[in-house]
Amino acid sequence: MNGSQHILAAFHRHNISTVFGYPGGCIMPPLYDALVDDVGVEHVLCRHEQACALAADGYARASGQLGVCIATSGPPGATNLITGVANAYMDSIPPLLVITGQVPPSGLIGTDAFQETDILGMTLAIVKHSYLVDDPPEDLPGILEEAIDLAQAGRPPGPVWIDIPKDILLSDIEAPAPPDCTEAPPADCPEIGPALAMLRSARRPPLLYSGGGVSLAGAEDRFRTFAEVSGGLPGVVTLKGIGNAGRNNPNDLACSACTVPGRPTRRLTSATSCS
Amino acid sequence: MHGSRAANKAVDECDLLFVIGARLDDRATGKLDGFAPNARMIHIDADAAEINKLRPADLSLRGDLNAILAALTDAIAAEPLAIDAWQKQCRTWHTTGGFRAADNEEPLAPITGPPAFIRQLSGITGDDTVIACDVGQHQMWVAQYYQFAHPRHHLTSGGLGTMGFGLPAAIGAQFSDRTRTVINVTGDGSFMMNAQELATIRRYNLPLKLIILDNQCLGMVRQQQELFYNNRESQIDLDDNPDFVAMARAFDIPALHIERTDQIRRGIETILAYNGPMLLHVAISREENVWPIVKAGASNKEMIDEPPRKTNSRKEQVA
Repeated sequence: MNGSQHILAAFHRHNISTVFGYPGGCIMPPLYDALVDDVGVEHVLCRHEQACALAADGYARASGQLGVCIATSGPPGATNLITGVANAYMDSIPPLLVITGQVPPSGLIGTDAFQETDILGMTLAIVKHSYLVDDPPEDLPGILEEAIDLAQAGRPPGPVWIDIPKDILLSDIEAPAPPDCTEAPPADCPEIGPALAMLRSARRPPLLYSGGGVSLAGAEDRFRTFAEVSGGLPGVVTLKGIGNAGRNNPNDLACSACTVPGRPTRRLTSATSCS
Repeated sequence: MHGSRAANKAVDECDLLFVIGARLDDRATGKLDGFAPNARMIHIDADAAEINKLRPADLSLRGDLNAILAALTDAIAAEPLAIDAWQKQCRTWHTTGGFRAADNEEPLAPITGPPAFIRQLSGITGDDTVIACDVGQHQMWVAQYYQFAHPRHHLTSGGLGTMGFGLPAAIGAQFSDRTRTVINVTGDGSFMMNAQELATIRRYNLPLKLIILDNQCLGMVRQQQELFYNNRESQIDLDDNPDFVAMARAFDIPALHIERTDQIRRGIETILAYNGPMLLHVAISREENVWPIVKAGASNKEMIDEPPRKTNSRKEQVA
């Protein structure tokens, strides 16, 4: 299998059935050629790479699944993805995988070649992690597994960018496909006794204040049950918490913060080990 | 910045704030020293970096929200909190101090009240509907007036406020489930940023619904210039927009235009019932503002309410 076929194999292994992309010089001969014969992946051709990234974001937000966007090198290709990827990064919620083509390293990288750009350098501030696949090509399958896992695991999920030179996408890679190393972290729960005591001892009643973390954890049902069972605790939500209480909930005081929040502090995240 | 007075009052008056999965961003809290000044705080989050970052927690619980909430529910079920009076108080605040309660109901009046439009939209759509907004006043009205059954049904660009987000995000959401109703609510400014994606909708025959609230300007910026910059308008005028209905039809997507209050319900029902993509162009008044509003950098206590609205009711004029 060549590098492109390894990418499609990784998509199949991880049940990635929809990707949003736009072809171009560095990505077209390898990956888009491989797509012709592939039946498992639906490639959605948007009309602008920015829309590819934003569509992958919307897909991920609505479904909770990994959003995938693909573009060629550049400007114009990869750089047109930047706004969409930054948008996903700032909101933390959508897990995103970004795959871009890159000019071949031998003889071309660093020469201001056609549609060449240091996209990894440009995007350091807006990704959870990024990779430039270098020699040997056999690294690619392992990087794919790690990247797919990293985009979704740890807290919070976020964009992971893989920049792949054209010659690696075309290289025959004999390495066996690595096993699926996605594993759910154990659900950890600290001691809740003191919190319960504080709830009961409040002189005036408590107020729930919830945000995007509830849907990030998939904890909407637990949240609503807790609010109801506790005696019907009233609550307010932030912009990203809208919907936490459901429709027409009489105890929902609605949004207390309908505005765009600022940039989250960069933080360390832990990835599940593949070894 | 545009939260409800009722919600902010409750935050101000409570003595225990139970924060769950929220990072207390300064745009949400306003100036921190004015945020929940009387309250102790319990902070539950999966990310240790968010706890004690902006406001020290009196007690924190770091871990998986599902596990923590399940444990708390089990523990509290035996003896729920006695909070009937507080509940009543909060509901009263919500009724009297929530977002705008009524709008101009004159049938032939122009659609001057986008909240009325959004409220009607919310009343007509099903629980499974996904709304993808763009950025601007329409985004705030959706956040204030649309009732969402689930947080994943509300696609909004929060952190970056990216105009042009809505249409492609709606496309992505539709691909995740072709059977559900997905609506892009957008403004005339935002729509133009990624309008080329009308071709993608047509290409894949997505049954997407688009609603453009068209006030012929960059409304949110206009409002800020009106309220905080002595009404000095600068580069916000979009009165040379293209004919959006003709534009949609050029992409072989049917489209409707409405501009009167009595057309709202029929317009919404028509696009929702149509088997395929459809655009609804809604002409709204340029002067509409989002209320209430807190100026950037101010405390939530410095919230500015909507000034009394002039009525142009015929009945009152006759009297």
